[in-house]
Amino acid sequence: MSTDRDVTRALRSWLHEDAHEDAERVLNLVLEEIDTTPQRRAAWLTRRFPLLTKSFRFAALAAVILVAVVVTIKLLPGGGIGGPTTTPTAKPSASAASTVAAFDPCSLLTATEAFQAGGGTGVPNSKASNQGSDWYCVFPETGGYLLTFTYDAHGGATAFAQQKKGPGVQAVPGIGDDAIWLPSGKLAILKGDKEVQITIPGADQPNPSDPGKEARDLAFAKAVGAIIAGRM
Amino acid sequence: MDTDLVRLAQNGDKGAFTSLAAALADRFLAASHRILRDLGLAEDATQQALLSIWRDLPQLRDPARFDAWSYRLLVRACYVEADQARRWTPNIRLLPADEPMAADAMSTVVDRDQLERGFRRLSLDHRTVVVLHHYLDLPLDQVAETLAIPVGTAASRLHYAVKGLRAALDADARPTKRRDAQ
Repeated sequence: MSTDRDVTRALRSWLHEDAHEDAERVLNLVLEEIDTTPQRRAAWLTRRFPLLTKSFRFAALAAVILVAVVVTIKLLPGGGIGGPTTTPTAKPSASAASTVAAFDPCSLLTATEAFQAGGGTGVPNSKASNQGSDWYCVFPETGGYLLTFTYDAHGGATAFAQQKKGPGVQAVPGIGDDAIWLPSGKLAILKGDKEVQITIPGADQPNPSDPGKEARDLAFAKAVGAIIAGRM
Repeated sequence: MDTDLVRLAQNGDKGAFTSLAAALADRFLAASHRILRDLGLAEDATQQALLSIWRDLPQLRDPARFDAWSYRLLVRACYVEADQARRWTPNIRLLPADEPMAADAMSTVVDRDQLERGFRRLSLDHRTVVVLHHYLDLPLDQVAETLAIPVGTAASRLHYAVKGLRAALDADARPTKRRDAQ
């Protein structure tokens, strides 16, 4: 070995040799384990607001007592003490959430479609998963992309209109009722009052050594977006 | 890393964490394998690091610092695994191999077995800095942030790691040179 530079060059080359690691087994173990592993609360948050805690607890307790009193009065025959009889009406509350809960966002795109849109051939090893969520779907294996998308069944038009006003937004015609490419590396699609956001992690970080990456990310998002929009 | 995903995962979104973990797992395993030089230990370190990320993510104040923070947890897991391995495995000291070499012992083309032996002789601190800088391509300031050490210390460790590796490689070459001279 003649110089430190030679050693460094050889070392780099050796470190970058393919060591044939496959992290899938480890990843599956971790994903199984998080179901029974609680997250730790942010200690810095509790430190930052130590004085608020007592008063907040008192206010919360007072609110609970107030709600309990109001509910009890409403449940009394005649709608309370001397009150008029009220006609029960449907109110938007948890019922809206339960309507959405019946929906599986992963039904909008199969793992194979996402995989093949990302340049993969054949069938992916991993399935699309909503992880028990009614608004989120993850495609861990999408031909080099880690596609995730969120689904907003109600009020999507409002959220979409807000996003459209943001800086650096690029119109993407021909998908859904309207679609935009956000500088954060997301494709937002609007159809009726429903919005889907397709997230490609890393798309918000330009890679100077790969100037075509953004175009590829957008092309991939458009390909899967067209499929999703057809099923929204 | 996508800060939106980090925020979602901080709030307990398992789907977002799945995306983060899937993006990290291969890199974590590859890096820890190179630091620890043992695939079994590397798998354990990767698993522990990913679980620590899930458990402690709500405590991360700035999602933009996720990368450095997550590497720090990986390095910590590597140290724990290395420590446990030291306790339970015999201390095997590798001796220079007395095997035939190419005529040009100072060639820049180094046999990978020599590199493996030389690298294993480096301390864990030195191996970690080398892998973070030369394998993960982190600039020295990010290496320093990841390890919570001053940049000067990171640079010094890298310098001495390369010196140490060079010395180890030269030591490997010496017996053969003597034999060649006979």
